[in-house]
Amino acid sequence: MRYALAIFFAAILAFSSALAGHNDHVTADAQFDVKVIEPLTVVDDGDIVLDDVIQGQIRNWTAEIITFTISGEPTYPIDVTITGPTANGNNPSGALLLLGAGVSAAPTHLDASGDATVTWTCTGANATNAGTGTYVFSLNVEAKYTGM
Amino acid sequence: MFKKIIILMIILSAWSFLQAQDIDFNTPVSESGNMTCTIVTPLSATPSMEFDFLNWPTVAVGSKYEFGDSENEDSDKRSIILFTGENEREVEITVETETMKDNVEISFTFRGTANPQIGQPLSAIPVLYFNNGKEIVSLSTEGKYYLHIIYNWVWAHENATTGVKTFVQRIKVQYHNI
Repeated sequence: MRYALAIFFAAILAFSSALAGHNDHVTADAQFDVKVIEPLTVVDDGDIVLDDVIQGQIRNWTAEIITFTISGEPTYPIDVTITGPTANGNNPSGALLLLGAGVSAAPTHLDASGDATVTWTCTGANATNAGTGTYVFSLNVEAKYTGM
Repeated sequence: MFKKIIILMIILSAWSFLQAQDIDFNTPVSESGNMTCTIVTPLSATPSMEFDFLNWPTVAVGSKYEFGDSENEDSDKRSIILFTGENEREVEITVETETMKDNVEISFTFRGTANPQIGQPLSAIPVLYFNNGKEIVSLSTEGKYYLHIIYNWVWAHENATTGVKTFVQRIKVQYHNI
């Protein structure tokens, strides 16, 4: 009986060693995360035709505003480049001076809703030294994510 | 050979598709807005007279003198005021008239046209009634408008004082809706 038990335990030990296996694979995981964010867009709410002004005079009016909305990933930093206002090359000779608050400061971050705005405000025009005809002024707003 | 051509076409199509997706990374996006302002020519008004106004008739107290046989349609006494400004713009004309002074009364009619014609009879020029105190008219393609004050008659009523009487008609003009 004692001899039979010894054989039994020896068999179990041998079987266990066989389960550990020889040259089994060892593994480690490397993680590669990619965050996909909203693309940036810039849209304005439309060109503005200001009131007519008589040559040689100054005219004031209720603020006319063009709003540029920059949309993208909420809270992300952005670089915004504002160019202008630039007088159109085909403007009449002379100088027309737009009055008002002008262009707002360039935003540096998108807000919690993913938006930032640039505004261009005009509350009047000084045509003291202007020629007659139609003047066009343009403002360009360019945006990109910072540090990408 | 055919297989290679098919594969080449697939590769080119895929490349074109990727190009169409604007795959450049973090390319700036931009938008431009315009403000447009039109500067118009200032209005001016230049008075002139037809015939010799120093040669007005002498009117006796209690009498009425009519110019022409049909008053404002053939009167030879007229003031003409030329307005100049921006081509084809609408202007508002208002008048402050003076018709009675020292019991001497005058009568006149306003007519106006942007395009006077040579030989055109007075009756062909539209009458301006100045309802609500003003008339809105359009300048011509050359930016002109001619306002006529056509005098019909002068009447020195009984108890009019003698002497030279001066009647002033003040014409004001401004751009409409500016």
